[in-house]
Amino acid sequence: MDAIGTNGADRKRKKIFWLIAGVAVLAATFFVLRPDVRSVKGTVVRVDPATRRATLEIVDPRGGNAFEITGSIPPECEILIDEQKASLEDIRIGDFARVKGRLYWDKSVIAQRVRVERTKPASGRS
Amino acid sequence: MQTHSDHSSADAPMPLPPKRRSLGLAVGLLIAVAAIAAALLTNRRSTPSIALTTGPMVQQVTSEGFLLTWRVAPAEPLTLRVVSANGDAIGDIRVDREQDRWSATVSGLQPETRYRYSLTRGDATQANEQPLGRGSTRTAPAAPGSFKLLAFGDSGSGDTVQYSLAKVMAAQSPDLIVHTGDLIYPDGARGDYASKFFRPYAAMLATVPFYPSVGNHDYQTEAAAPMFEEFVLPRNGPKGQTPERHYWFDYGCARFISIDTDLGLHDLQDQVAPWLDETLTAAGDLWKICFFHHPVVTNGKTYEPTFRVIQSLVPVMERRGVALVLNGHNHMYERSHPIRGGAIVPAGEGIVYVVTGAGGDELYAERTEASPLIAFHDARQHSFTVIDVAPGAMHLQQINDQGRPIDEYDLRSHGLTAPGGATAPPPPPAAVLPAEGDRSGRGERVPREARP
Repeated sequence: MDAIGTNGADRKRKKIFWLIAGVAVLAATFFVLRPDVRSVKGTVVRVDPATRRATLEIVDPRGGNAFEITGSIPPECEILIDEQKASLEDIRIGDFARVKGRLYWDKSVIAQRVRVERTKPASGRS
Repeated sequence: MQTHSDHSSADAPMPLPPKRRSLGLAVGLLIAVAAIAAALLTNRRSTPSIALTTGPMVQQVTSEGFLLTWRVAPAEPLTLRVVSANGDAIGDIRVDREQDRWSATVSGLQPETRYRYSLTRGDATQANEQPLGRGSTRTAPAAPGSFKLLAFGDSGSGDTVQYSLAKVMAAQSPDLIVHTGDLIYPDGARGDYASKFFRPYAAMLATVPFYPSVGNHDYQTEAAAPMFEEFVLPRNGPKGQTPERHYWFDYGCARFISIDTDLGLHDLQDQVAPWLDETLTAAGDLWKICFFHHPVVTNGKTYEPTFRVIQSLVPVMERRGVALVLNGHNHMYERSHPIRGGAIVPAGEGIVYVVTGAGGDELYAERTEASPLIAFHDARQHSFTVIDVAPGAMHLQQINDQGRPIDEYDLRSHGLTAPGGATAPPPPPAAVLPAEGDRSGRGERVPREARP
């Protein structure tokens, strides 16, 4: 008589099943939680060198209104101002910046590269 | 031979004679038909073929008059009658039409006086015409009179919470209402104004002026165009900006300034801040109260303090003696300590920031770590702000959905004005911003560089 769970082949099948299920769960978790690489551009509205955090004002493409996102700028983040290497302390409020970074599942942002473009005033602008 | 006649059976009970049964049915049927016909005829006479689709809504109340708006379908001119308490008719009424929205400007009134109004069809001679809309409103007190203000934001969910909170608000009998934005969820659409604004607040709108500011959700439909179609707001905002997007008005002993903070840093700095500076300077000794959507001081988990506002507008507000700022965006209630230069200062020497975003939509969570800048906060229940404003003192209460106060605070005369009436010296050139994670309130100094 082959009772369920007592047969060796059944135990082996159960193990394989749970192994596959575990791998599937891990893979799903990885895909859900893995950071998403994003690029945004906007106006710098806050820079805090002490905590290495900055806030960028971005225009919502749907409504055209402004909203802000704050992220961390780790020491290894590449910072360029007009294509010249620069430091976090060199970034000014009002600068236009393009930021590439990772967006994590908890909505935290870590910048990988910040490129600041210091525009000249348009003609006729007071 | 068996017959089928009932009368021939000696065992079955005797039923009603068929003639009586038929007669009863006929009489009953006649009565029913008569009743239905009467009801239809009566209904036909009393059901109006015309009705207000929005309003009446009171707006722009001053000490000498008010403005009333409405929409009517089918669109036709209506007669507005305004009478004083002793029944005297008011003659200074000008009616305008902008597409399908009608507005009537009533002037030549006395301050702090209640007037009744009614909207009817036909000309003024048909005095017994059933009004399509009616209400009453009280003109503003002459400066520097006292009044009761009601403020709330983030309301337009259209659900039972909003409707029941609206009833509690109406019971407060305010003199005017300011809204801190997000009037209509999810995206400020025209079709949502009936169920998410006009119906829940109908009783208040017919008697009390309502001043909105633009929220990020309102902005999603044509940069809040539907809002400007519904309201008639003062057109005294900064040049280069859409009229009514920013405006100011005086009421009693206070000047109110509404700002659309959905704009970016450069627009706020270049266009709004200079206008704000002028408007606040011209306010003299009036209380200065600013209301806009995005918060300056908040500990909400969903939205941080709004740094473009901190950079562009806060220095102006501090320099010109703003006493109170009303915000929304985070769906909760928060009241800050008096703040100046990013730090807590004694009462009367700084601005008190109130987030009153618990006005009807779902509530938001707060951060687990408390902020030393926040004196009181409540994110567990819906609420709104009621302020008794008098020259020299404001008494603030935050009222919950049961009508009970959950917070009370007194603001005294602002101490920023030096003896003799001169304004206080400007704050230090570097604005101190709260650093992320630094909850001491001291923050880090971020030099405010000159723009290229």
